[in-house]
Amino acid sequence: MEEVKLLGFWPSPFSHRVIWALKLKGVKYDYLEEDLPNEKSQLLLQYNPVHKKIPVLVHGGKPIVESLVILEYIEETWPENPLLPKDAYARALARFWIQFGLQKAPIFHAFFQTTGEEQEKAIKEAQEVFKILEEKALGNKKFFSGDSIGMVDIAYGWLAYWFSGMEEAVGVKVLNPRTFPRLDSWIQDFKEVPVIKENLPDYANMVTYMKFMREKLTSHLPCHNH
Amino acid sequence: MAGEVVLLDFWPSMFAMRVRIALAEKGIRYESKEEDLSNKSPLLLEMNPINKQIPVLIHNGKPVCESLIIVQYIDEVWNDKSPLLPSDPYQRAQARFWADFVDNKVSGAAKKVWSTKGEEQEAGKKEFLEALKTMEGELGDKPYFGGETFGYVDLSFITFYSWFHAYEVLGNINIEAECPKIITWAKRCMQKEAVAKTLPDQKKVYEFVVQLRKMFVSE
Repeated sequence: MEEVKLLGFWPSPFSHRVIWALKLKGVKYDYLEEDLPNEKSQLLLQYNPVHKKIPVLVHGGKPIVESLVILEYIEETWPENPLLPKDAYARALARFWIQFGLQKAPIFHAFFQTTGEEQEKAIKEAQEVFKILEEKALGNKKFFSGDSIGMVDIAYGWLAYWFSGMEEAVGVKVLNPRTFPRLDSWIQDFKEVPVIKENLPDYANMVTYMKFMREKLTSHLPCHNH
Repeated sequence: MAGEVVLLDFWPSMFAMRVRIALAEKGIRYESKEEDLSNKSPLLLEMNPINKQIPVLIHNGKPVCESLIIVQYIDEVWNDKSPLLPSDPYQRAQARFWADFVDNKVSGAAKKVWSTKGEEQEAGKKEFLEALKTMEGELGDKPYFGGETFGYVDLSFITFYSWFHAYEVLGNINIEAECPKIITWAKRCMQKEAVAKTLPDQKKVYEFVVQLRKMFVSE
């Protein structure tokens, strides 16, 4: 089997998407930690010249970048324990929900990087996203992908763990378990899946990192909250 | 795999064009329903309640949304001819990466060129030309992004060519001077029947964009 390497960053939810997929499929790999936010390594710049970002999966010396592209690659290369449905229509639906998360990312960036009115707007929009996810994407299922986790759950993994770190750093609770009970159940169930549970960054360290990033991103803004 | 195929369409949309090219490449018969985006049909709102956008492919009554997702769906269901994505997983990953790049970098910057003015437009123009140059670098000496044959990345990107005249006039840029290889590639793609029959006339698109611009910019 050809060598598999992952260039990652310990607090990154995108890095973790790849870790989870590899572990769910029992793929052995070497992990290389990028020393962000210090200097990006020569290796990273060589493997991802266009975006210069992690995660980068390197398989037999060939790099694949962008976490969602990596997930599809992993799914196709190691078909055991499939993360996408077999049926083409169900796959299109799964991809739609993954894309939905991507399209709504700016709302969560705004929540994390702004203050005042702009942040208020982002909070409202984020709650609309949660409503749609609960009602249309999750419905009565245990996981987005059904009885067991799949690519959609992996894509939303940041919501299950990193988002509460963001909420702590910002000082505002947005995903209220009473307002979004089904989404909250999904979060608890997702974190209990052994591969997920065993592959999460230390919570306190993650929150510290979030607080550091929040401070960095808002220090130029007036009246920012800690 | 046949059955009824309906496309909720909008003639100037470069995203809808992607689906039309894919359907043409595969020789799939379908019904095109032109949407009036200022007055969206009940069918569109029913089939795409989340984003309320075209294109939507309705196959045997079931909707598929998002242009690149639709193209992948078409490729997987009608898998007996004219493959759009490569078969090798690494090549597929490269194709997905570059189609994403078109959607993230090219598309966003292109919008700034026609929908803004002043400093914002200048920044958008710079971003747009940089993105095109990056695409040019990726194309290299290959006839198509897909290599010897027209593929997924070509399909994702060529539809923007129908808007080039609009970008050039409204942005006061010369794309051929900046990125000659992109124009050579585009003209090569236009030799394909599926592309030539799908892409609307650039002047017609320009007239449409001039009207659309009024909604974004006061001049």
